[in-house]
Amino acid sequence: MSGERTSQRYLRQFERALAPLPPAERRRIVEEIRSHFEARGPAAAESLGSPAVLARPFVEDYQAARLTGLPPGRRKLALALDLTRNTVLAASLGLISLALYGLGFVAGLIAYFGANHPGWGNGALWRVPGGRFNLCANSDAPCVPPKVIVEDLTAFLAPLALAVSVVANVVASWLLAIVVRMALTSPMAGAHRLARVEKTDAP
Amino acid sequence: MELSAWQAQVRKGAAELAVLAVLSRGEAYGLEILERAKGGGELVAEGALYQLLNRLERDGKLTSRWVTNGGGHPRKYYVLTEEGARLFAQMQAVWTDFSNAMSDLLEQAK
Repeated sequence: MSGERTSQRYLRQFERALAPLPPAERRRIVEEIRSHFEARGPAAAESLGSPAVLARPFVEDYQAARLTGLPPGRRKLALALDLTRNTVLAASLGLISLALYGLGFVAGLIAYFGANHPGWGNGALWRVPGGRFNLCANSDAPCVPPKVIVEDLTAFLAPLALAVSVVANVVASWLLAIVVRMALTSPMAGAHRLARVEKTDAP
Repeated sequence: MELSAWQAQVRKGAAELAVLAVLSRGEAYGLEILERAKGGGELVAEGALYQLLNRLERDGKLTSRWVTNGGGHPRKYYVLTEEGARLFAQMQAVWTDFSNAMSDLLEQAK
């Protein structure tokens, strides 16, 4: 069972690493590696190398084949377009990551003040006639509800804000790691791809 | 250059010929190709085999078909195309010349 899980996890990671390939080609390659796992067992995970390492030459071959099909003058343009697309994607992920860090920071502040200032954020959530909810920002306010749902918002506001802060920071860091990896590897991979194609073309 | 790095380079250069040689004896699937190639030492790295088969197939040197035997696992069998057989014959001749020249050189160095 554990071996089966190892194989499935390996195949999922391998398929993700093949993302730049067209879906049909990706499926075909994954099926063949699945067949190898079925014949060889979970030990294949070790002998094939990591999913990323196994996938890299497939992706490089595919990208080189795409460039080879173009006239030499258009290869640099195609490569530049690829790099631009990657840069735009990296920048977008970077912005989302920054926004998440901001959200994490604000949620952290709310959690801190909620936990350290018992009066702050003290409020009540009431259900008013008609099924709607009403927020009374201060429990001293003349807010006479027909039914109390939660009496003190602070009771759940602080832990919720803390959880949001932690999740936002973790997701932001994960996205940032992807952005850094893309920024570091994309131009080098592009130059390597072009050099490889030009080497193949050389007499 | 470290010996292991040099060995990896030699193996990488010879892997294509080893796969074509195995398939010149008839169709075979991935693991079978590995096992047959291992008969003469570890000529093809397991991690490099499928990318090599994929490239040879895309270049028209091999064709493949999926075979399911009874309740067994489906297997992808590869076979040489005419173009692949021609390439194998050419590579074989080049390798033989190279190997003879290298053997002579090493013999003289003794």
